[in-house]
Amino acid sequence: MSGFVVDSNLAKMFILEFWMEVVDVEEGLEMDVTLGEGLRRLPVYLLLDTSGSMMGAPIQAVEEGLALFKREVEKDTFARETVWVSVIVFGREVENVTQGLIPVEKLEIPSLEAGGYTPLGAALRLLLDSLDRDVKKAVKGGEKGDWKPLVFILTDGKPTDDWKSPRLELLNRRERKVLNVITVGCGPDIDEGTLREIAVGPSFKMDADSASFAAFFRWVSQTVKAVSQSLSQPQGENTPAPMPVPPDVLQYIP
Amino acid sequence: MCFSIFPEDGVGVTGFIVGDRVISRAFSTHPDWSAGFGKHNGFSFVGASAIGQLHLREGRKREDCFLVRSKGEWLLSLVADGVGSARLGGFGASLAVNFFAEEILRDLVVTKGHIGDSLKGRGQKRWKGYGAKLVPALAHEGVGTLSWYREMHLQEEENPWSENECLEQITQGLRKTHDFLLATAQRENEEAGALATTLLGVLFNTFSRQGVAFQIGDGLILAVSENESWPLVEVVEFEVSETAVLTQQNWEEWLRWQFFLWEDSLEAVFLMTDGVADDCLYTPPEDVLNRFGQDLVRELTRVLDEETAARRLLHWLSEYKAPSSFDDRTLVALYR
Repeated sequence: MSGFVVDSNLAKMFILEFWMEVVDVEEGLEMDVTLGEGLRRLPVYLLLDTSGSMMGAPIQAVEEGLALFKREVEKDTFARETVWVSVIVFGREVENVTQGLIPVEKLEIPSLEAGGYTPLGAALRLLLDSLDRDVKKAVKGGEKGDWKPLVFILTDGKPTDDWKSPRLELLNRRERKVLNVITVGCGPDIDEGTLREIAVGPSFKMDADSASFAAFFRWVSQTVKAVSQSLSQPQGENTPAPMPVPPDVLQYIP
Repeated sequence: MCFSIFPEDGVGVTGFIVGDRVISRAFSTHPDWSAGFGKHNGFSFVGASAIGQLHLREGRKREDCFLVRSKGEWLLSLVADGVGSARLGGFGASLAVNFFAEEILRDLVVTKGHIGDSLKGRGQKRWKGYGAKLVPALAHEGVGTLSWYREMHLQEEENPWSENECLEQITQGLRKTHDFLLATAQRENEEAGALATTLLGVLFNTFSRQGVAFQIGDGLILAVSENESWPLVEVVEFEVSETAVLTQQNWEEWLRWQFFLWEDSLEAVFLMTDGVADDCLYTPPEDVLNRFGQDLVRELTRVLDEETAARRLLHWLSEYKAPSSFDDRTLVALYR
């Protein structure tokens, strides 16, 4: 017998949907109400060490990690709508490669080159500039404010410039509860004492192999997704951002 | 300003309850979508609460609540938002609105009046699974309660009750609710903040048309006249994702209130949790708050009965799309 077969479930769904539309029209349930069009964004800053010691496999792993981060965040409906990202690299060049905050879907994975020293201080300055310029505060009768920015700092060595004063500025911001900063040291040259001095929030250390970088960026994605869906909290509790349990490769530095 | 009240002898006083009841701790009794409606002494009210997209996806329950109660000529409307980071925030919100209403109304004195025998078809409905377009599988699970109350015939008389006394009554009610929430948390072996919730309310005398609006935490109480909409209670700017709650020790520092007189030019008062307030408080468009208020009045009053208005309100809360708006949405409207 020739002809076509109708999927009965599909037909039922079609009829149900059609019926719903009819009910809507008959009962006049639709309302036309003006709403705010402003977006509440979750700013995410990735400060990535591109100094000479990252040359080779580590810098390649960071690039791959960034691509993984983008893929993972884009998969999530809520995160895709709210996450805006900024990538700041510090090595031979210190540069905000995204020129501020951009929607995660517009993030193009940069081709990273390792070289030079570790000018963390200059990177922190770029971060502070962008925080001032790009992050929106809620204004009564004005724009919807952004969520607290989430900052990840990934470095594999000791800073080589003046990082203490910009860090202090960052710390003061954090004490005003406008930032979540997570610092991760990678590789054999990491000194826990220095990392503890640099850290503005929780700090971790890990190896510099590609598996560790992949685990780190996957964890960053999970954290970003969790924060983008985080729920309100009582005023004054200053609870840190909800972080998924870090992978085994990340060792917490108390 | 004063309220018209009289010593109560307890005879002939009646009142209704519409909205969310206390959630069972043994198993979930909180509908994902809920609406109620009624009319009292010439004032219409509709309330609706819809679970947010985020809670739907995560399989969580609605954590917002609303309640409208009357006693004599008084009308009390409440909305509460159980704070998401609190373990039992939704439970806390349901406790807060019900316990506070009981505390306030129990001691509130009403005008002496007599009760007529005429049945007036006012009612309440609560739907589980309403918003069938959103979750078609639940379409058949609609449940409802219909209630009728005898119409009251009240006589207006004068007896002043000062704003200070009224405010004291409200503060006392909130204090007892705060203590009750903390005691409940302790009984449940939870931390004090486990039942963290905001609370917004309007206590309104339908005779004297005087009322007081009060608010702890985020959300909005919006007044709408023919050409203008304005927050009835000062909007406190919290940091994004933070709010004041009734369970915190210093909750009184965050209590905001405003007395008001329902003049002829006032068309409606809306109470809403932050899930809706966040979508109308911020630009663009430039005049979003007034457009929101005017549109809502138009849409609710274009139908003749409150039941249809409540269904429309719930449908809209369930379905509307706004950027980064995933929270539970709850709104109670008082209008003439």
